[in-house]
Amino acid sequence: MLPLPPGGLLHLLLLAAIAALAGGLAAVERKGAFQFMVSRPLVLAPVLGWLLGDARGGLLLGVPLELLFLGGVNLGGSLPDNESLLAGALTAMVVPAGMAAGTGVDAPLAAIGLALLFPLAMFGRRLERASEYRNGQLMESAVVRAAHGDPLAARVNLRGLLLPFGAAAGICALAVMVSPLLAYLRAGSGEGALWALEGSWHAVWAIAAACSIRAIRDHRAPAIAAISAAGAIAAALIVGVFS
Amino acid sequence: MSIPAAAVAQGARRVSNGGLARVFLRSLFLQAAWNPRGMQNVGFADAIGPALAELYPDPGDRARAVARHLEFFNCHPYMAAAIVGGAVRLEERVASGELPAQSVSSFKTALGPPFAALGDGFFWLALRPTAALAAAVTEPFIGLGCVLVFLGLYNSVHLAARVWLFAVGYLRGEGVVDAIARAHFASSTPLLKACGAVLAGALAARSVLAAGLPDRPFHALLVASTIVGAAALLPRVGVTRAVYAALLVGLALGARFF
Amino acid sequence: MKSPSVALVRVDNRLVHGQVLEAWLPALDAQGILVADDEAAANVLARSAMALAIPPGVKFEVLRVKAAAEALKPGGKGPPASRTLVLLREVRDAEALHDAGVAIPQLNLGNVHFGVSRRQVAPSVFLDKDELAALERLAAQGTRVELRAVPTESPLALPDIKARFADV
Repeated sequence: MLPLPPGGLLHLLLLAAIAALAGGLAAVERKGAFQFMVSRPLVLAPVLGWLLGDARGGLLLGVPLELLFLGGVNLGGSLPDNESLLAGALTAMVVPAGMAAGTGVDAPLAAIGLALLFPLAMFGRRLERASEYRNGQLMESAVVRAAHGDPLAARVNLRGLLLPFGAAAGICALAVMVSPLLAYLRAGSGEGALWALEGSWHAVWAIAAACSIRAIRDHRAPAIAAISAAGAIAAALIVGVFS
Repeated sequence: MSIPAAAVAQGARRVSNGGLARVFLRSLFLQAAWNPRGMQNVGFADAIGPALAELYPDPGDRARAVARHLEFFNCHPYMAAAIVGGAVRLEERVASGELPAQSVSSFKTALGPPFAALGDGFFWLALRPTAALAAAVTEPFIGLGCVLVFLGLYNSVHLAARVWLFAVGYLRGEGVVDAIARAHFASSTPLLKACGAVLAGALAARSVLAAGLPDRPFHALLVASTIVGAAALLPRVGVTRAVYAALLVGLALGARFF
Repeated sequence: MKSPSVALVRVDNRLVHGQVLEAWLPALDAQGILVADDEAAANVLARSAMALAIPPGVKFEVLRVKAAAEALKPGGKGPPASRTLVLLREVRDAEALHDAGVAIPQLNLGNVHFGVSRRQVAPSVFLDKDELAALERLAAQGTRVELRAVPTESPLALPDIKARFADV
């Protein structure tokens, strides 16, 4: 029997519905509407974590994810990887798994989850291309309707939000539904495996720090970051020595 | 397109404040139907719809105006607010018979790409990473509060800029270029990026210190060299491969890594 | 100061925008931008808006295609800076430069928007058969033609572009 969240299967289904709604709305907010950055991993992961029952667990996932995708940018028609879909699905899978396993979100769970779901970032980019082609059909229908004298032709605009919403909602719900499997893996991991997975998560953090330096696209950035890091370490050591 | 006779007879036409507010709200959905052929065209035509409804009472005239706005358009989604506002002002003059309809189109084409460049540089590549790094650096001290640091820093600038851009676009029309030149978007970008680089360095230092204290210089060195090595290799290997490599190396080294 | 040179010629309907300034300038280490376009050269608003977006320290010039050809051909006054990025709106402008005697070792197709007789060969590039023929003529005379919006994408070479054109 796979481990389930405290409330059993009904609880799991409820969490899936919540994750679907939040993940879907984030997909819409990411590009099609508002762009208040609510769909960034730094915000989406803790907010969805809170909705599912563990805000801090969500934050533990959200910060390094944010840093990994800090440099991703949508320039014209060139699309970045979809950090929001990954953050939504990862939170939707790892937070319920942590609750079911009784461990909460910890480094080993986060590392397995990330290894399993990371390709979603690239998949999300393909999905975005697909929905752009669907939007192309909406655009053609708007042009035809305007040519036939329909003053409301451009109102098809909002229909472009449906596909991103539906796709992300489905993926996030699915992530909740497979979370018991992750909980099972976590519960069955021995001391050695946990110890190794802990190392994996910390290595990901090091990559995240490197990505954040790279995200500042300026030729002076690496030098400024190096000076700042050296200064911070020196300050910490001096304070450490005299305290 | 011919100028509607009624417009000439009525003199200057204006869009109401309510109409302007609706145009602004709809401009928040500029990219809802982003598509390869027209890019933000549907969103633009939809956003300016409430203004066109007031300026062209005849449904046929209005549909022709909507059709004009379904031409190709692309810009940065925030900076576009200035162009949406400016286009409303120009449409008022078109409806009043002062300008040919073509002038709206050339205004959009001339300003879209350069404003996009300004917005990409300032919002996407300077403000967003810097605000997110400020949150990541403060996270060990304030926990979940760091989410509010990010949203507060980012949106206080973003929302103020978006409203200001729309207003200045509408009030100044083609003069919007001079107004934006004085707003120092381009010159504050390098400063913000420098702040971002300082924060990124502090974040790296935090990882190194967390690994190295207390008295574990080997761990600190390992993390430091991983960060430096990854930063050097990232442009070539990409994030995905770097993450999987890190997961594997971490797995092999285990908790020795921190 | 290195001598003025051309780093890359790019066809981009949007001329100066984010991909150009944020992705290509640093990748090429370009010190200048030359926009060769009749429409932009004649439009004060377009010129001042472009100038607004150019980062400090980057030399910037807007010329009509003919004037740009005069400047860039051997014996002309040359590009504005070392490693200049030359931006053109249409494929036909590249051929006009070439026919006027300007050497184009590498031609990048960035953004060519949809038009009635154009077919889509990449997410941001639509071409008609005359444009494809012009590209083939340039390639036959030694120009390396590649298609990509930003430098981090893998470039599509002319044979692939032709294959995609035939597929549509």
